[in-house]
Amino acid sequence: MTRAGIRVTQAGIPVRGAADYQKNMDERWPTLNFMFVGDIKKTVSISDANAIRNSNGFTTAAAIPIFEHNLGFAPAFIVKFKQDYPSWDAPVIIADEKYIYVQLMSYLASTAVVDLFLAVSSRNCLETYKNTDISLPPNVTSKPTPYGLRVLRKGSMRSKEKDDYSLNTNAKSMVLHSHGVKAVNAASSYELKIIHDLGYPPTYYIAKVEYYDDPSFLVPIYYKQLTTPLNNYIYSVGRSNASTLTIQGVQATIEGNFMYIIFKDPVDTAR
Amino acid sequence: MNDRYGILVADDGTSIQDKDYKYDSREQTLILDLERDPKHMQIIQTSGGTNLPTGVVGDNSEVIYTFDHNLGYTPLVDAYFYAETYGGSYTHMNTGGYGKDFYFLSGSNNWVLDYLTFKVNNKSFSIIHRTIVYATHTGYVSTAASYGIKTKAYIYSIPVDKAEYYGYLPD
Repeated sequence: MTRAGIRVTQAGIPVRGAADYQKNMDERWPTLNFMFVGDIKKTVSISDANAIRNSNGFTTAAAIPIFEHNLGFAPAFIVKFKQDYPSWDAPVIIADEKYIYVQLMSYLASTAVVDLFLAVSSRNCLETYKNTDISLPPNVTSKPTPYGLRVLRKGSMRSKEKDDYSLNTNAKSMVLHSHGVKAVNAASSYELKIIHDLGYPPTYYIAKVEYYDDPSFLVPIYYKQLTTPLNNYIYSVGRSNASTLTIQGVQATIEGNFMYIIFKDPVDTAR
Repeated sequence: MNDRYGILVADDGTSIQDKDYKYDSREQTLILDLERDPKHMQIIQTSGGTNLPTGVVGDNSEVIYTFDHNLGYTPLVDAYFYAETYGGSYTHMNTGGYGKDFYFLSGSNNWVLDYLTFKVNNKSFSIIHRTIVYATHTGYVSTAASYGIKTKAYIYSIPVDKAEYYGYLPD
């Protein structure tokens, strides 16, 4: 690992000795970037489906594209429905390497209005990544200043809106520690266990990774690795010591393959 | 966005021409404002709430804490609920767990859901304690008041075009 590079800390934090999570940019580790953040509103019909399953003539499940991302892998993504759905009745949203889909059940309706906030990460979080270069936290808190570094993404340099910047020392950017996919099953004691060695309980996202191999589904989306929205009502609790995060189901076990994303940020302090 | 300018850092072991970037200033990230007062990244220390009624079928909720974020729109939010103490103890079996966007308190079962979550709209962020009793029963009393909770809130400067939403909404 080189000693040269780009290190940008939050305002008021000396670069030398800064904790990882007090850096807005460090060329040694990535941020969770998004290739799309915005709203999707469209009326979809079961006739637009890319894949349809007929199950004994009873249920038709259709996967209808609502956004084309073309990333070449199933992405991590965030969904916020504009309508409040009960957790058991929210539309199913999945992603493959080309599209974000809504699943429509024909016994419920043949058309539907999809209206949601969508953020699609451009980073392949299905691949295993781990940054092992860790700086422990100092007892210093950020102090915004009139000076600092700003990298504009849109709008004007006079903008007070931090979303207009990709980098701003008077803002905090979430940086990544690790990501990947792990199986949770009886062999893992139904626990999602991730060794991070960060020295604190970290913030994290998880998402279920699906693989539909039911031959009654038609191509193209089935037989593929599919991702579901981050933190989509996965009933779980995390526990972490200085080195290991363990996520377990609450009220019932969790099982299957899970994508995890761990940030370099402690859940119990804010600096 | 201008696609031709920006700061790019290639992924380890790749060339900048490979277009696998670990940093790309042209794209949006999870970003929040450190200049805001109240702070858009903060730890809020509270109890788990009061011991809301759980003996009768129905829904009870209370706002434990609220603050104005002053963004003028409903923002994207992450909130983590960390159970730091229980009955004043830092080592009780009900401590040390944390959940994103919602946290089920100990004792929730098939008849009663007892949990913490958040609510956010274009004005404020609130921590909510809620119990939902699905069927008449005896034997469960909310344990909320016994908890010492650290809530870490991230109020991102990213608008979600929605009047209001919850971290968790079971029904």
